[in-house]
Amino acid sequence: MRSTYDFLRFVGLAVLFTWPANSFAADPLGVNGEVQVNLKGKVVDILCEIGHDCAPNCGGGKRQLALKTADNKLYFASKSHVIFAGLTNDLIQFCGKEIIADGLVTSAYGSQMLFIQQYKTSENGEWIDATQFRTDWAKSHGVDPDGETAKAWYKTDETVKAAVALHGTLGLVP
Amino acid sequence: MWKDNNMKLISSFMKTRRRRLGFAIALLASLSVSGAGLADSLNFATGKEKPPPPPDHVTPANPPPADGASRRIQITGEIIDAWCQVSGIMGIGVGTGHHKCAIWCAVGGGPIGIQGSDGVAYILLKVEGQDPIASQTAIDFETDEVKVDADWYVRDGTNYLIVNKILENHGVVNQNHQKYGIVPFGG
Repeated sequence: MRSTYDFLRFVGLAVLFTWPANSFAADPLGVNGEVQVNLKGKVVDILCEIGHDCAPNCGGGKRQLALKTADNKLYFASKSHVIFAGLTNDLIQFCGKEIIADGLVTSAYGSQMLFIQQYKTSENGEWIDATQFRTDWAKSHGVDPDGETAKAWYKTDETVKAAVALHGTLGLVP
Repeated sequence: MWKDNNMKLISSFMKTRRRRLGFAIALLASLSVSGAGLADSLNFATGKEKPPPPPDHVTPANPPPADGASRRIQITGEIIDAWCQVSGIMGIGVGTGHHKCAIWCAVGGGPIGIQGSDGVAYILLKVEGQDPIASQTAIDFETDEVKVDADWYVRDGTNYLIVNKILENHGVVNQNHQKYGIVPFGG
């Protein structure tokens, strides 16, 4: 009886001590070369960083962005926490500013990318889910950002419909 | 009765310290890796064949540019949704089987790339003077095979292109939907 109690106490304490780490770490996806990361870096315009072709406000949401860490390393910020959506809507407001990002790095075919699931603007700040694309899309379409229409934005989006109508589901319509 | 028998079974299994420790380690391991392999469950592929995994290494067709410099190259490849191709999240990230998904991602502001015939996934930073995020040109060109003249940069494990000119557009060439199905969600 005593040993069973000790065992349960061990498991309980172990779960207690490991749970906070699990709950704040990025959710794994099992993608190519996956590495879970927690990065502090400045939001930068990649074209400006490597091609010295700079634009106001990191290109105003039309350019690829990256996180530049203190060791001068660029992490190409490519995927947000919204299905089929990139990160620009989340990151553009922080152009030139530092954020802390929680996510995954994936790599294959000679390139690597950063998927940010949540971020915060200071060590003691609140984590923010990287879902600004859905918020913005919902606002521009007059729907609830937490509703089913916004969550499945790709089903009703007019630009998607026009592109599929033009070239077909397979892209084979000339 | 069933419950009593099972409790007895569990109690007898937990009798030794080694077994209890093993069970605890297994429990904690399962907590920490419970999300691994989620990509497999997200591959809603209706395909008949599983696509091959990416190669361990790729060798660019051209000698890489020096650190901080660019190299002007001509490269042929397929316009891709770079996130799906590099991550492998959908199983396939190229071809007709992935075309509709590529449209969704391009409209959603995902990165556009070229899957080069040399096996390298190049990220497009600019195409004929246009910024790439959700650009109509990028959306219209998804899955097309193109030949481009571009400035190539390599930085921190990622290959980037500034496309000066699209020299040729061969249209959609990679017709893989019959082999792998249409991802995600099927047709």
